[in-house]
Amino acid sequence: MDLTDDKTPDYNDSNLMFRLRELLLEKERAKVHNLESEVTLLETEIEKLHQQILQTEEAIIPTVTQQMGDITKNAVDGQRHQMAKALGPIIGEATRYQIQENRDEMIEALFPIMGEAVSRAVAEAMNDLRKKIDQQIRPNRNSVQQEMINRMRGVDSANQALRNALPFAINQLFLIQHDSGLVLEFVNQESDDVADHDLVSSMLTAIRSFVNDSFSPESDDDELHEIQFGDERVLIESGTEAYVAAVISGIEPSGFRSLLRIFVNELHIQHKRAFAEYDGDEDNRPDVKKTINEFIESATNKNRIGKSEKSLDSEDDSASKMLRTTGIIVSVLLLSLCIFYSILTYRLLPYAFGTQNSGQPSNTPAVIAPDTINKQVLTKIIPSQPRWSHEDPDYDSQTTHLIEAGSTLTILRTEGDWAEVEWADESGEIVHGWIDVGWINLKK
Amino acid sequence: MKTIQKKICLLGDFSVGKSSLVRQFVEGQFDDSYLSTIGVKISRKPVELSEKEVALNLLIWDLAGGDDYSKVTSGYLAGAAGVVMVCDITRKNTLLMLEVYSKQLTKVLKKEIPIVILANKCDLIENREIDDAQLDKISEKINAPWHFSSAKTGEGVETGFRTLSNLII
Repeated sequence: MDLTDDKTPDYNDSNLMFRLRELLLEKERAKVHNLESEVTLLETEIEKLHQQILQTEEAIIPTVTQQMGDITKNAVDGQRHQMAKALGPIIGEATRYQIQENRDEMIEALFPIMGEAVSRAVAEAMNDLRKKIDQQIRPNRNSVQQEMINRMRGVDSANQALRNALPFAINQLFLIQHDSGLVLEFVNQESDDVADHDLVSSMLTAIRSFVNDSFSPESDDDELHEIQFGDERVLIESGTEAYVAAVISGIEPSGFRSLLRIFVNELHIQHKRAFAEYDGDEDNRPDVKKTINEFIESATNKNRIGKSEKSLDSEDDSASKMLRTTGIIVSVLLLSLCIFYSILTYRLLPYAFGTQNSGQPSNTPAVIAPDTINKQVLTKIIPSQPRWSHEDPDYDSQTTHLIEAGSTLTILRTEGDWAEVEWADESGEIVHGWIDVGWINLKK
Repeated sequence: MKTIQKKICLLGDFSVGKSSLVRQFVEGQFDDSYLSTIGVKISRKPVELSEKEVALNLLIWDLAGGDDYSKVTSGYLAGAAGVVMVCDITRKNTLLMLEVYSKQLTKVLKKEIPIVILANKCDLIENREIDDAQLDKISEKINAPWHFSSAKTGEGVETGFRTLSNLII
């Protein structure tokens, strides 16, 4: 085809169009072809690599794991703090997630640690309790009386011991002005120093105010009465101008709350104006320390029961009275029985020995008296243990024969504490001698 | 020298720096991360007023600011001998709240007690939204002297509390 020809080309000529496309797209087609070949090659190589990886997975994983382990170890050794800081939140989050997802597994995993810690803490607490109970149940002067009181009241000894192991004590007592929270008086019964009592009283006042405003804003009658923390409790009893907060441990005796109320009322009767007008000036502070100390002493010491305390231990009192009365009755009965028995014995002696009893005691359980022995009546008398007979009724006289225990003796006569006896010895020969009647006894 | 104990309260809108002021006054510290209070925090600070021969034992009730706590904090105000009202000079609204607190105070206590205004955050003077004239005006209205203060630098903190101590005694 001559392009320089002026004739218009025939665009319907397919050969012509094909050649034109060939000329225009020759390079691109070659590139596409090359690319397709390369892609095919790459796909083949990828497939080969994939196959290789699959075949060598078992070899690769340990290597990678080893590397990761070394890297982590180096990081922990070199940047311990940073690692802890970085991992801390993740560990917390991971633990929470794990607890949510696999609660049982986590319990199982943590049990050896938590279980041991808990059991150790419980063991220590139980040990302390055991020591206290042990101390309580050791026999003492009052233990028998207490045991009898418990039995009469139907209280189990173990429960009593447990209760006694937690003795009641007023550790601290605050007297606090109502609104300001200023301390009117503070008594500390514990040997340890306590936290700033001014701050404690202010915080107590704030807590009371918060509770009252939050739960009972319309009522002035409802108040916070008790706060518990650990082994201690704060009992709060309020008056019009001031309130008392008693920090106690153990179990308070029945009636203690009313006792506290009476105490607050009595304080207000005596010092109400002083409580109301207290402005924080030490010179104007009402002197109630002695009264508080007396209250604490009387409330915690049962041996010094005051008038208002009588109701506190009335149950114990009545039980003690009953026990004392029973004891007196039993003692009188026993004494009467002893007297009766003695009189009876005394009266029966003449019938037993045929003469009046002189009542000489002996150092053995002998029931015979030396001057009352009659040969014809009492011939079966035995020594309670082997004894030597004497030539005369005297320990300084010559010993004559050994009288075997259980031997049957015949009393020939008596002289003072001595009796002349005769008996058959081992050979059957009749022998005789003197023996202290304290060593012989009637044969049953 | 005799010892006297007094309860004082800190009042002011939230985040004006009340807790930081107390911390600066009591412990001489400022902590940027110190959290705003949620109810009440009580601190104790002895202040010696040698000219009056008095050792004042201040029990400082730092009350949480904001409307949500207005009912609760009213109970905390009882028995207060004085009040420090705090505003933030970078927030104009905090000054307006002082008048509200003043009315609340009168309503609860049913009497007037000494008040001192602390215009806090004076270290951020370039962001100031409250001028002296506005402070003078509120000061006159609630009958309370005012001082600049900065819990961050400690400036004016001691002065403010001492002024109140002298007004109380």
